[in-house]
Amino acid sequence: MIQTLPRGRVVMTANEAAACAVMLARVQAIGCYPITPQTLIVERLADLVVGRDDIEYANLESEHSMFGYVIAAARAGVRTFTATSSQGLLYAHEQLHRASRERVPLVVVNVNRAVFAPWSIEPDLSDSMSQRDTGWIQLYCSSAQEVLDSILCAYRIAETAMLPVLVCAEGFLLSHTSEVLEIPDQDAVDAFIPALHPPQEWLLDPSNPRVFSALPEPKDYFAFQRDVAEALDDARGLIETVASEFTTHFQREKVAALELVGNPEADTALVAIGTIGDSAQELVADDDNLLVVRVHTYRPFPAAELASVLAGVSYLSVVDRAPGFGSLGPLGNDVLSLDLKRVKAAANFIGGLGGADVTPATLRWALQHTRSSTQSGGVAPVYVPEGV
Amino acid sequence: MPAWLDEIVSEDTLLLPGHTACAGCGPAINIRHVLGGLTAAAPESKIVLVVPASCWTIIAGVFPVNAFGVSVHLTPFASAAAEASGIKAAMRLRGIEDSTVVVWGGDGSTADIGFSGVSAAAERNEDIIYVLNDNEAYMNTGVQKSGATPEGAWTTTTPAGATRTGQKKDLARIMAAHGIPYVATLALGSVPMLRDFRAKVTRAAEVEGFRFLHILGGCPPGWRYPTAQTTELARLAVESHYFPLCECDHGEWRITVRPKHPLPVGDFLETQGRFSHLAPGEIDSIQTHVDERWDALAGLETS
Ligand SMILES: Cc1ncc(C[n+]2csc(CCOP(=O)(O)OP(=O)(O)O)c2C)c(N)n1
Ligand SMILES: [Mg+2]
Repeated sequence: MIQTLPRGRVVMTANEAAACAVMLARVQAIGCYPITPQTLIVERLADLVVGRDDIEYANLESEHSMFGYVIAAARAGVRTFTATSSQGLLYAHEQLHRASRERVPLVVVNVNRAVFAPWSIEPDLSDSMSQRDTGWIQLYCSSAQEVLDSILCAYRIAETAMLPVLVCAEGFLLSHTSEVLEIPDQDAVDAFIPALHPPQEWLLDPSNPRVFSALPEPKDYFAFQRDVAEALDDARGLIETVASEFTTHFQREKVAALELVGNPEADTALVAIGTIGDSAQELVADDDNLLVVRVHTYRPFPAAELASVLAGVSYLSVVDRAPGFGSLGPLGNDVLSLDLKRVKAAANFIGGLGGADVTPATLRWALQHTRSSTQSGGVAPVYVPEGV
Repeated sequence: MPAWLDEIVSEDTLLLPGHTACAGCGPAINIRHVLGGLTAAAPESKIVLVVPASCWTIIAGVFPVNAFGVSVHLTPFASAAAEASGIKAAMRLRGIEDSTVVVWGGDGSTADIGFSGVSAAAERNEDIIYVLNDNEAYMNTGVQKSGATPEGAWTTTTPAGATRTGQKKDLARIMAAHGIPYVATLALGSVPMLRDFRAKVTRAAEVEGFRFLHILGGCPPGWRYPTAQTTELARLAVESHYFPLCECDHGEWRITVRPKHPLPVGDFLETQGRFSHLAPGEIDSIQTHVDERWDALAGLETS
């Protein structure tokens, strides 16, 4: 029996919201492989595709194959979906590089989870942040609603830019936490996401024989890579446009690159990503001299936009939820390499690894730490001590 | 109680009481008999257990607690066979002769993601024991279909209305086709089956080269049956020819436990919720496949 999707105002987890978004986006081929805390997405989809002849659902034997399956199906002209976490994303690393370089318009959800060793199923961002140089657009969410909305936007973005999009949501904090959210009607989604029409010369079409990704001369190889870089750079504007169209179309605010909360004239700023960026917003209630910047689009990195919102800031704290082995954390590296002339003191904090809590109290401690320091930039990150 | 049962009970120092396996976990009983059997067969040999991602990642203990009385090397999901090969190589280089390197790998890692590594280690004839701990699905992640999930079974990724099509991989025969010295299938459902089980573990300890033990173990939450039924289900699996007990010792196939009055496979299937949706026609088709597999196995034995 074909199941119907919930509609309107509902209570659900980010995993369930992701499955709904995928169905609303009229995905045609789904690749599946279990891994906690993502599994509920593909399990939910397994139920939703029962009796649907118009959707192919495949249980693959590894994530490497699962990414291969959706890459190939996309190349052959259909809209695809898959989801993974942690080891699964890492196991697919080779395919991640290849998907962007082949300009495959995938949408994948990564439910963020810490990385082996030792084993942990708890959230941190090590998995997807360590894939930041693979040429994917990366969107980090801070609510189940944002996961649903970002997936819908991601199909528009991926299929226009011809680049893969990774929608990231922290495990358990989002994947398994129920929230009130709004599920749009199918008609509204259909009006927002046009049918897939990949460029004819890109499409694998048996009646138009060609060889794809054949060995080029160095200069041609170089040009292909430069094209990927340019496509990612150009995607900044596209992400902005799609978000603003989403806001108008669904009458619900959609963040594009950055979400700003607090005082734009503040001399203190805190930059964070994912759910930490959400927790940080609590701090502005009793601190009028604080601007909280939550990064939603991490790749392409919104460098110009960040440089502009941080231009007047004297004290800058950047919080990562992934380690920066041998350097700063990933977000710390990106933000602290901006040319910020007014900054007197800056620090990059690393917290929340393997599910450790980062509470508003932790973030207040971080702000205090930065305000009382004189370092502007810093060569090493500050690992949040236990108990703060 | 015969003396050897006393000895078996005294093997409690290998998998320690207080481990966190579910009530009724078949593999928790099976691993005790693997470690106990290997220790009894070669008391001087130190066991190194190599464990890829699986339920056993959790059962091994939450830091700093450890559930095992032997060394345990935890690995990513796909690389256990290669890592066991690496450990054995290091033991050889360091002159440590008295080590038994044992992989305890789930059906997901063995039949699916780690399969090429298992096949390659067999083809190199690595001197390791590879145990396929088969509970017929990805259980640690909550019951998803693997290459060893039987036809017709419900899992969360083969839900009602779209249950598992295709056949469970016959891993014993696939591994035997690598020409490795020893392959056996094991299950614990009765005292005679326990004797058979321990004899195969002992044989595996004696032989050199790549040894492959395929052990069936029931999973109450995954197969959906009451926790007290684990050994009974193993008995039904064997007596219905669903899971034949056999070995291939240096190329010689032998069925080691031959049920006197084979039961219809329905007797095994009806005990578990994962098969409860099956229509009579579907059970007939499973019966046909069970009979075909048994006949093929019997053919190997006599030839
Ligand atoms: C590359 C990779 N993908 C997925 C996982 C998630 N994972 C961990 S254990 C497991 C299930 C293991 O199934 P099986 O091998 O049958 O062992 P069981 O849990 O049933 O004991 C899965 C899918 C992982 N750890 N690594
Ligand atoms: Mg299993």
